[in-house]
Amino acid sequence: MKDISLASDIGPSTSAVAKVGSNENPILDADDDDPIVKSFPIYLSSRLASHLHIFQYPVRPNTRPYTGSQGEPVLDLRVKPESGVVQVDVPINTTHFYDHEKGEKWGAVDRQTLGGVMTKSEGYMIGIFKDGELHLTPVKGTCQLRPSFTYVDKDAQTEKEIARSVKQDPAKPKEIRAVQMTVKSSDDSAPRYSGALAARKRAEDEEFVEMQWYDKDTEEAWDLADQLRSASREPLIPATTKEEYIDLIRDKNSAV
Amino acid sequence: MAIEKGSARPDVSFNELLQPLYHGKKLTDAVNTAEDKWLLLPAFLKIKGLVKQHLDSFNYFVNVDLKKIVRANERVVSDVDPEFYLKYLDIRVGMPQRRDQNSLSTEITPHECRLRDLTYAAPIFVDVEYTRGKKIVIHKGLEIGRMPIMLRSERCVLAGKSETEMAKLMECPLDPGGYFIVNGTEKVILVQEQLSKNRIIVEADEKKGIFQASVTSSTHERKSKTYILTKHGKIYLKHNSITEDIPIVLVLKACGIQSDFEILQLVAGADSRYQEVFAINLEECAKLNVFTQQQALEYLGTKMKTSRRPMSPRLSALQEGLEALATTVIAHISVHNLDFREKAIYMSIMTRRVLMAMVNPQLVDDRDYVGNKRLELAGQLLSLLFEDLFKKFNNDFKTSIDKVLKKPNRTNEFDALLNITIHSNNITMGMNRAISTGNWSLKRFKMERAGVTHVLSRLSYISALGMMTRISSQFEKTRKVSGPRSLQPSQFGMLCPSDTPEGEACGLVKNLALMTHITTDDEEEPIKKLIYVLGAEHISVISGHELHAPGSYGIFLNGTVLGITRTPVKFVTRFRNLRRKGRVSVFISFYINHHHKAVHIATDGGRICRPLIIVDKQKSLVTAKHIQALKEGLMQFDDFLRKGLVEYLDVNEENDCNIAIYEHQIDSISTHLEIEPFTILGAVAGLIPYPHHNQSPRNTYQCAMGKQAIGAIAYNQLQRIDTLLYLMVYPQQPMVKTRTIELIQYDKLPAGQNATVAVMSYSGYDIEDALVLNKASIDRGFGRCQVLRKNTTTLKRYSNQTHDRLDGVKRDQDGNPIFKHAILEQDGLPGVGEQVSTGMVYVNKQVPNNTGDNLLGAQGGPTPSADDYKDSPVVYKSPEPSYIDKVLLTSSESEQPLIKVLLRQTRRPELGDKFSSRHGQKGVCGVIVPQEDMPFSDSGVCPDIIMNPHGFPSRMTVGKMIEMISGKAGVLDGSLQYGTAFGGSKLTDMAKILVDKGYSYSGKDMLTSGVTGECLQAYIFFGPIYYQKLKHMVLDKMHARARGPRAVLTRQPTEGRSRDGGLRLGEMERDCLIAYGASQLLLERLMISSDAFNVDVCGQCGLMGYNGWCTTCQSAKNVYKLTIPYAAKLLFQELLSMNVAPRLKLGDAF
Repeated sequence: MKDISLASDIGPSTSAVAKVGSNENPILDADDDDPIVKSFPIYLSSRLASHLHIFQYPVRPNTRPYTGSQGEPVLDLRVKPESGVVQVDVPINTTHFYDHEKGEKWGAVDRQTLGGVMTKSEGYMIGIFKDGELHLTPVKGTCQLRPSFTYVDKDAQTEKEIARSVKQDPAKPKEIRAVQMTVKSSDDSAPRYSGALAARKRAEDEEFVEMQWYDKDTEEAWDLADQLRSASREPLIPATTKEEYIDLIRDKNSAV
Repeated sequence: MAIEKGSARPDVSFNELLQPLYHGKKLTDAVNTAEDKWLLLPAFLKIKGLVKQHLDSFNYFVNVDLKKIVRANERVVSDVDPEFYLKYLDIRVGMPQRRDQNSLSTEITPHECRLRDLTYAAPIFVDVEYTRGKKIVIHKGLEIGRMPIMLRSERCVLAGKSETEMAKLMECPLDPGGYFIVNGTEKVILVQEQLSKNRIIVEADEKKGIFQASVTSSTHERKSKTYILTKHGKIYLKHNSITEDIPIVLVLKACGIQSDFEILQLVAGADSRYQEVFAINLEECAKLNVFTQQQALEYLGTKMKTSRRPMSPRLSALQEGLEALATTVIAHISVHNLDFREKAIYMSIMTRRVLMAMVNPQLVDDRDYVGNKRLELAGQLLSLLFEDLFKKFNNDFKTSIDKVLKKPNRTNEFDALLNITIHSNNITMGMNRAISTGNWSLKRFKMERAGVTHVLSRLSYISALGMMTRISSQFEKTRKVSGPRSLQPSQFGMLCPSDTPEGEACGLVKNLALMTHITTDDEEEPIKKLIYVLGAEHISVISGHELHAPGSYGIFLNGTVLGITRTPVKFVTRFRNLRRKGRVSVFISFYINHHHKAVHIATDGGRICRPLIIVDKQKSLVTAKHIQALKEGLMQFDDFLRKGLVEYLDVNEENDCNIAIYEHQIDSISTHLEIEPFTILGAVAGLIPYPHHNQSPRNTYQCAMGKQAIGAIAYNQLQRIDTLLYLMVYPQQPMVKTRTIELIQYDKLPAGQNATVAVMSYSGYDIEDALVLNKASIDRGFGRCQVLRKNTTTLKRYSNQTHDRLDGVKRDQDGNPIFKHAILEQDGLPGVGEQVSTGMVYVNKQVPNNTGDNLLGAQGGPTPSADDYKDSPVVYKSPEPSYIDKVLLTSSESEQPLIKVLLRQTRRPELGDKFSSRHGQKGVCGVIVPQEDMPFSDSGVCPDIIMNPHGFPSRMTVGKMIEMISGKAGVLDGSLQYGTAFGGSKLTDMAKILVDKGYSYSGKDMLTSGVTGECLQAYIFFGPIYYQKLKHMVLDKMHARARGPRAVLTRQPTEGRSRDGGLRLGEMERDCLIAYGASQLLLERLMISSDAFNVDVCGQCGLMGYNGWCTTCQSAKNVYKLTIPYAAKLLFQELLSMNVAPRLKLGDAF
């Protein structure tokens, strides 16, 4: 994961992203060339389990995270919890490489909105390594945030409306026409959308919930990060062998 | 599923091969793995059989796919009553049942179906839950139709039966099964070859500078093809439902990848070559003023070809675009919850492949590569058909309940089940019709395919077997392309290199090799989980940067990218180990494509694969110890698989491996060892002895001819009543066998005889490959065969209570039966064993005169008198007499009486009958010579056949010569010799035997002429060769005509032997006569003997009149009689009918 630009809303300790089982070799071959050097106890923390999300910024170099210390803190965070739509506002540096004319046209843009859809995390965990102990917390979801250009859409929309009104303006008053009235039962009128259309409609209908963003270096962030450490002092002990684990996942109906 | 545990049925046929003492090998003998590992092959075939692919596919369909189809279409709801629903809980197929009313038992055997023209089918049962009034009712075991059952599948009564049990059911234990019986005919669903679904194929047309990546998406609902292609150096997306090509950047923007930076990263990565080539596409999109997802979707929406169903709502352009992108473009990747990322990545990978091809045109895929093909089997085809029929069934059911529920006040409570059974015939009939006609029409895909099924050829055992392993290609036969027809290196060991027809279907029709297996679908989900467990990074957290980072490999499951790994080799090794330990299905394949930096994992059905021995640390894992255990019966083939000694590799994985052919060839890079090299040949090519010594087309010719050889067909051949059956009277197993012959048990159902052949010229009647036959050999039964022909008659019932009947025997004044009825018995049927010759009646059927309207007082009225019937007898027409072999009186499915008469002819070879050896050397009998005139050797041996030596030099069939030497050695030694491909009895050993027995090592003998009594001047190559009698016999072809029937329209003689037609004097013959100037002969051939016709032509107007009167001129003056061909007269009249007046100008001839 080292190549991806990764910032997070959960504080400073997002350095290690471990994958369940990936560091083990559940396979029956012993890695001769890769001997075990040292072992550490693993603890499972569930205190933040239902809140932990990874935000990725695929178009942002990881050398320039959106943090206060870099001078580009996240300004706003909005979430639609049901449909999983996430929006983050970040400032735009208006001093360099900034087209003021275009900025004016699009309504004095000084911030950029990054948007994305939350996807369920597939077995990822966040771990902190402290005092020779590894504390893991399962991640609820991941989200890739990329620039959205809603102001362009808005601009296009207004232009379209203007064009329409211009077209309609010189028009003669509407002719009087006979209108055929039909009675429709109420269930028919609501169009039944399928799949993607339904999902879009759901997302559009849902209201944004404003969230509070704590920058990486704030007190609150550090406090929260502490919760990544497991409360219990019981280290995780594997209940199944590697082979049993493989047997649990594999297709029971499969041949041989 | 794919490999059943050692079947319960004690398969005696292989016992010999697995006996402690076999071919001189005792258990105590030192086992040489290098030579004995072939024993794995009989072990493999014992569990696999030759048609395992068909049976597996059908079993998978019945056990798994059927349930999946029902689960996907489980609910039926009403438009009228929202309360109503019907839900399918389960579906299963029972055992085949008879449908006759009042029958003692419901059991039915395949043989009964064949004899009685029934369909071998089993009922399909469903469990349903539905609402009746306010109650929810569960009904179990509801029959919704009947499914034709594949013979020897799990649902067949023959499954797991022993040889004795099979004999009781009148079934041949050697019959491979894998076909259906529909209306009494045996039908095979041929294996269909197709380009693989859901995989990207990149092609280039360098001349036109077009590069394209295409993918055929196939889901249960739809099939569609998406292209990403270049046009003037720019990349576009093309799809059938989009009116014009869409710039790829625009499509990616519509998927929510809005920034150009990210698009470039996803498609080109950090590689500047790709970035440069791709950059122009970003500009293209900007020119269209499309910057955001919304704009892109709106643009896309306006370009859609929409066909709205009348009920559905109108959509805005944006919605159209969204819908299209989510469901129609690359349909096999589903979009959940507005997350287009997977689809975007898939399209960017396709785009990248196009870029790669643009930069390096060698990076394209080969359509003809066998790894890019999938074979569609009976199960898959039936499942497509069943889903279509099931959907229609549900639809019909829904409309019929809607009709009832619509009524406002019903008198009694509505039970939906009463409506469901009405439609069950649709499923039954739909399946039957499709299989019996071979027309597969699927409404969902708007697909229409003809010729899917064929009648199983029962000409010989080999022809039936050959049909079961046949693969037909979807390519058009008419196209003159060489690519799909030529031999592909990747088909090594999978498809037989020799067995393909000549002519238009050459190379398009293929056959499976001996060890080939075809996979069925495996579950994807567990594999998906395992991929992540084994350390793959999930694709949802990957950006283009990592995807294309150096050293990172994409992981593709069935063509869809799931994640990346940085240690592809380790990843694949781990997965392979899991497979070898039996933790994942043995048919899942893993391979790395370094060009595309991809790890491919395939679980889909239809892949071609074969077993190979695993090599570890330069050692074959199968050792002498294992072979020993196999011989003792302690291990079976499955144990080899389970222990990870042997594994299945599909074509793609095979190409990622280094396979040693022999054990001594194993070196440091070897990963696998071939089980036996002769398994690259199929069942039919396996009959050829020493094929590796023959010129390759000769082997191909033999493959075609082996299917025409007359021999034994099955153990139940005398119980069968087929339309046409050829049987050899004294078939022999070949002196020179092959391992394949033993494995497919051709030695038990052989088609040919070991003839003693002298290679010499004799009499001059042996030119052009003609053979000289020994009359005494023929008298002793050489080449004798029987022809059995069936005649079916039904006694129909008519709507007015009348029906056909059989009449008795007509007698002359003396009370003797008239000649025509000489062989009839009292019941109007012939006596078994009677000779029937031309003109005789053998079923004396009568048809009522009035079959249409009701007879007066039909019920209880006067019994129909003899006058009410007219004779409609079945008359024997062939010039050669036959014997009545069998008479069967039974009833068909429609309960109508059915009479089958089997006629038998015994034929001895005659001039012009066709024979062939097993080396593509065919010849006709040129002369039959009395034994006293034949040459003989000093020991008194006389040849059965004399073959002209000119047959050898140009044909280069060295295998035939070696066969003769091995055969001769075997005869002298009292042993059977082997001519197995790439092995077999060694020539030097054979020569040694010959010398030991006092013969020349070369196989040549001194012969004495039977005619002159002198010693022949040369030594003659002399010995036994296995000869096949082919089905082309003079008796079936002889034809001559002096007078005979004429066609109605043209009054010219009819065409063809079957219609007693004339012999045509064609255009080229006509040219000869013109050139020679034989005008009178020409006139006689073309008119007088053909369609001469007298017309009255008016000299005045030039038109034709009649009776000496011209109707046009209204006069009899100037009307002349003329003889012209009737066809010419017809032409004039046809022209007249089109308002063209052809006028004849008459003049004096002399």
